[in-house]
Amino acid sequence: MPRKPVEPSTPEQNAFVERAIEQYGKATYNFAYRLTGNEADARDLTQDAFIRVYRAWRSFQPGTSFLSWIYRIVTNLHRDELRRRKGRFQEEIPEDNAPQEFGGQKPLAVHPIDDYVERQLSEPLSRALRRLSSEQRQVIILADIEEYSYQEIADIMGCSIGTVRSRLHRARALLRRLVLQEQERPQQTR
Amino acid sequence: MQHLGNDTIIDYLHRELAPGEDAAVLMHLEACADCSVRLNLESAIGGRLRAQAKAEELDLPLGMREAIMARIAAEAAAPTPWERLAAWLRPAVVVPVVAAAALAAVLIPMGTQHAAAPTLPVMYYLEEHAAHAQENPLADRSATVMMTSLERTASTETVPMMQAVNAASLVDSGAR
Ligand SMILES: [Zn+2]
Repeated sequence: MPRKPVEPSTPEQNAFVERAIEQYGKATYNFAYRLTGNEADARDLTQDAFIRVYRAWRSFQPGTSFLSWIYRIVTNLHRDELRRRKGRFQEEIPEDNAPQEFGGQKPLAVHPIDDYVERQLSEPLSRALRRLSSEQRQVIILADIEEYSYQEIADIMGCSIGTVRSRLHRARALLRRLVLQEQERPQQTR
Repeated sequence: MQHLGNDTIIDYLHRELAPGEDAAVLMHLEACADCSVRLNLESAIGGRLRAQAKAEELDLPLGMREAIMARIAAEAAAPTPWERLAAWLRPAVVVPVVAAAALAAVLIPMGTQHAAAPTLPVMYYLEEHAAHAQENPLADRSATVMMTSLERTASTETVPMMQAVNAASLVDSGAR
């Protein structure tokens, strides 16, 4: 694919990228790590993202969030990479039409769940996150870890707010179901 | 009493409900223990996700910045389209071209009538290049010098150059 000619790099262009790495490199790398689940892919993704920043530095608008911009770049690169790999590897990530959640109104026993959850949730949540589709995982990372608004997530992921909302609902339903399963397990003498 | 849907609870938790709906949900939660427990669960999942992300936070790998800046330097040094063409021409093509051009320049003054004799500067450059080519035909530096002067040659001496190129393409294909 022919690339459009690159302007000769200027000192300010290099300085822009260096500063961006300094300030946002760690966040970008962690975002990439959460998306991919492994350090090697996260490293590649982070490098590629900053190369894009270098090429497109003029399109960054001062006053807007750099982090949102680079998250969007990472998201797109990750999506491209998954598409590319799909042909070569069996897709291990479930599609977006994840298993349906239980009937939404399942009443829960009234007992304090927070303490239990705080102690026991990590392990099932780690596993559950891996079972989400990449889109669902992205939306969980952006909504629950990075705490972006639905509108900001829509901008980063390049989709509608409605899509953000439904992906988050499905992803949360899956997490909830796994947590509840874990919670019931100790009571069942297996 | 109609309980809150899970999706509504999630949107409420993320502060994404319209003000009116948000107020209605808040009122319901104050009156309904079941829905409050479900909200707490969702809230705890969110909190746990953040805590876990923080606990697992990685530092930027050592050398990452250098690796990125090295790739950028390589990209900045990447050839422009013209440079790519020049690279394609050298030295397998350029050396024979120059050699043939030199030959033509020598032959033309010796009695052929179909072209004007090269001007002095052209002769000078062509001889210079022939000397370079003989010294070190594959040296990148001499090839670069040749390209630059070939451009000048082409602008002042069209006819011998065309002959030279024709001759060179023969030389080149013969070499393969
Ligand atoms: Zn209720």
